[in-house]
Amino acid sequence: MIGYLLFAVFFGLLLLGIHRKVIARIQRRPGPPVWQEILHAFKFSFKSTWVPVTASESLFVGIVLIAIGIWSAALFVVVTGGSILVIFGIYLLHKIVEHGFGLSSGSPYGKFGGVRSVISAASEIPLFVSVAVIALYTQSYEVSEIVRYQEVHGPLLFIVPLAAMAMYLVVLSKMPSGPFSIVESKEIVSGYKTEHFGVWRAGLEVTNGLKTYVLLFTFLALFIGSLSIGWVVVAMILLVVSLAFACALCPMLSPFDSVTVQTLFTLLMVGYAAVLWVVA
Amino acid sequence: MAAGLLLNLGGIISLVVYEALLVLSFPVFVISLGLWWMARDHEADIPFLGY
Repeated sequence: MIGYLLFAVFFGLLLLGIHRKVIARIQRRPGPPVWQEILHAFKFSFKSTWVPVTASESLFVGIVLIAIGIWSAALFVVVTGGSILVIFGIYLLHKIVEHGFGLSSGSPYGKFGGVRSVISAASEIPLFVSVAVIALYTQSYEVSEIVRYQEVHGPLLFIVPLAAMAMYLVVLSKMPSGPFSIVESKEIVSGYKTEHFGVWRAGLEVTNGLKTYVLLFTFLALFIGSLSIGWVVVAMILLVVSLAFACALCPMLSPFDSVTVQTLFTLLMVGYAAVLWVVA
Repeated sequence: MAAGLLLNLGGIISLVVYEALLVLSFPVFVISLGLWWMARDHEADIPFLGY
């Protein structure tokens, strides 16, 4: 398990590097090497580190530990075929963690980032509809049983494509430089991450690697089904490339527009789920 | 983490307990490793307030 945990961290960071590289190439820039995010994690961990005088020390440090811990837990839940409700509970918990990051430092930019993370909770609502639709067909919230259902009936991606699209939108909202990345928008410097530097930022990079791996793995498990580790790697790279295209071609929305678009999509999904419920 | 791995391999603790130990110890390991090999300490500074 420790080997898989480390693999998830480094491969997740590599995926984020591929994401940056593809965005750069679409925008006709050379871009950083694909392993840049891994180098970032090491670079930050070597830097001189302290706690800002205006920060709440316990929250400032504790929130980094919690962030790594919850995504480690999410990884174990998804790879052992546990409940998707736990995974999505952790996903929602991450909003509180982002908020904690922003508020702990005493920096106004961090606070703006923290507030925006609460606003962007609208991006999680399509997730509920997605889970409801999956449960409607598979009669289960366990990842292992959902995977087994797909072995018999085929991938849910083809059975309920709109539910897959809803979760794709949720994953997109978590990717950097995307249309919904309002928590890290440049007008608030680095948002909730602004004051977490050095070793704290290295911890945040580890979280980002784990989070990326878990979200993509969950998407594949829920909508494609059982895959060998080789195919998981290939499918994740393809997913990240498609997400990079979406991020490169769509401008970052303002916070208001971001919430509006996500709310409209949620309404569409609720209608879709209602139709499926009636038909089923 | 190493102790958890050995206890799990020895069949003394179950996989779930091992995973719970990892969830608790991995974040501490990451931060402790960074704080151990980071560059020299520095006095606390005020947050970034803009250019």
